[in-house]
Parts: sequence; structure tokens; C-alpha cells
Amino acid sequence: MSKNVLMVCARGGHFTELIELVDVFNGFDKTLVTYRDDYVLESECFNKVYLVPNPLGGVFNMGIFLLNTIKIIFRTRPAVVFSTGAEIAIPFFLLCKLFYHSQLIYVECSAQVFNPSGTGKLVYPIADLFIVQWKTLLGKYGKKAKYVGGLL
Amino acid sequence: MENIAWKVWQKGKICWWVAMIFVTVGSMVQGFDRLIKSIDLIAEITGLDFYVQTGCSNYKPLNCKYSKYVAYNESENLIRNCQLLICHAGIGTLILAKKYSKKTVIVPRFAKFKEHFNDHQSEICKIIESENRPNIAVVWDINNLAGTVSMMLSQSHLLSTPIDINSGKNNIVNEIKKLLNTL
Repeated sequence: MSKNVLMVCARGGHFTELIELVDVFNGFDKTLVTYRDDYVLESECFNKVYLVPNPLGGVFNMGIFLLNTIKIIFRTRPAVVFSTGAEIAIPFFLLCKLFYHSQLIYVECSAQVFNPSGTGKLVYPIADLFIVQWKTLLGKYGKKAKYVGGLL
Repeated sequence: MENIAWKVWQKGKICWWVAMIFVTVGSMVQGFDRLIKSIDLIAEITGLDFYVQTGCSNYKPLNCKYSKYVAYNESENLIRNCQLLICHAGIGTLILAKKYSKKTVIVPRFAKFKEHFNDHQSEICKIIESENRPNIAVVWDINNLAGTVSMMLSQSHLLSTPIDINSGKNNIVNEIKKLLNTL
């Protein structure tokens, strides 16, 4: 049975970066979690797609989001969690590490040129692989951060 | 359901001598009226063939085809097939533009006009400008947009400019593979 990878991203550039890197996980069972939105999402790259409400849209949305998060994590039991960014990754990273000791891969968005993102700072301590896309960010994070070139 | 954007592109392909220019402002929740307005003005004056993805902008262009959003696959198609791409400095669009080596005119969103939360798009533009890629032009003042567009359209040789597309991506892929092999 193939292992599960949970791929988490927000919309826009985060999503494009994730699509660029999705082929690395061929051979895994790929599950995507992203925000529900009024633009159309069509992609055949994934075995399963979960759409969740934006937790910053109010207390009610936050509640639905957290319930969905827990449901998705228990259903997927991921061996690897992969994210290209934004706050949606935080609960998935924390809970998957806690329950399933998943390997956590975080690629900082290439929009962060000089300053680290809030999400990056939060997930840095628990991430197993932490990649930044600009050299200028290396000094802002610790030794674990890696720079090997960027997508842009 | 027939796809409006696709129809527009078909039209552009049949009239291949008409420049098909794709304008996109991404999936941001804030509008980018400054760009849409001046594109509309350019379309009115020059009669060039624009297709505009307006996002959450309030201004609706009168002289070109537009839609609020286009699906991800479709936007990739439009970027691959257009002659010139005009866009905000969003990472998604820029990665696709690089993937297909497109001639690109970038207009950054500014926080002072309430077009974005912060000025990270200016940072991206600065770092791209410093790389001196020949097929990318950054427009800092919207009044220079028309001039830059006509300059980029007239330089047909830029289309074939070879760019080292994959080195960064391959390195990241290898790093991830290294970790996956330990599983």
C-alpha cells in the first residue's frame, strides 16, 4: 500500500508552487487541502481534494476549519506533510507531528524576499526539511533552513 | 459549459496577426483598478486584442474581453499561448511566465493604493529587475505602461530567449527526494 502525503496550501502563488513540485510525490497517495473559493479548481494531480473554509473569516469559520482539519488528519494518517505556505499549514503540521510523527516539509514562498513569514517562523522548529527560496532569508532562520535555488 | 477565455483565445489564434495580450491580476481579494483602467484606455486607443482577468477589481473594462477568474488549467493555457503577458507581481503568474519564457510586463501592487496588505510585490520586482532578464519589464509608474507594452511587443526576438528554467526547481526536487528516500 502506498504511503499518504498530505499537501496543504493557500491559494494563488502558494498553489502554483505546490503544483510545480507535485511530481516529486509520484508513488504516494496524494491528498490536497486548500481553501474553498469562488474560482474554479481543476486538477488531476491529486487522489483526493479537501476544500476548507478560511479560518480568518470569523469564529464560525474557524470552528468548521478546525473540525475539518481533525477529520482530514485522522482519515489520511499522512506519512509526509508538504506545504508551500501560508497559515493553513500550521494546524496540519502541529497535529500530524503529534499524532503520526509525520515528516514535515515546508517550502517558504518566494514572495518572502527579505523577511521571514509568520508561518515560516512558527513551523521552523518542527519542520524536518525547511527550504527558503532566497539567500537573503538564510540569516533570518537558523541552521536548518536550506537554500538551493528558487522556483522564480 | 463553453469556456469564455478559451473562445477568446481561439479568436486570437485565427487572427494570428492581432497581438493576443493576456492581463491577469491573480486571485487576490483586493482589486487592482489602476492596472485595469489603464489597460482599458490602451485598448480603446490602440485597438489591441486584450483578454483581462479582473479578479476583485471594481472597474469593468469596456474595450476588451474580461472575466473575474479563470480556472487554473485555463490560465496556464492562456499564459502559454499569449504574445505578451501583463500581470501583477504575484508568484503564481510569474512562475508560469518563467516556465513558458513569456515576454512579461510586471506592474507591482502597492499597499499605499490599498492593492495589497504590504509591499512585498515591490520587493519581488526589485530582485527580478536586479537579475536583468531581457524578456521582463517592470512598470513602476502606471503612466509608462503604454510605452513599455509597445516596446515589448515590437521586440519579437525576445520570444526565443533561452532561460535557465529548471535549475532551482530541480535542486528543490532533489532535496525533497533525499528526505523521501529515508522513509
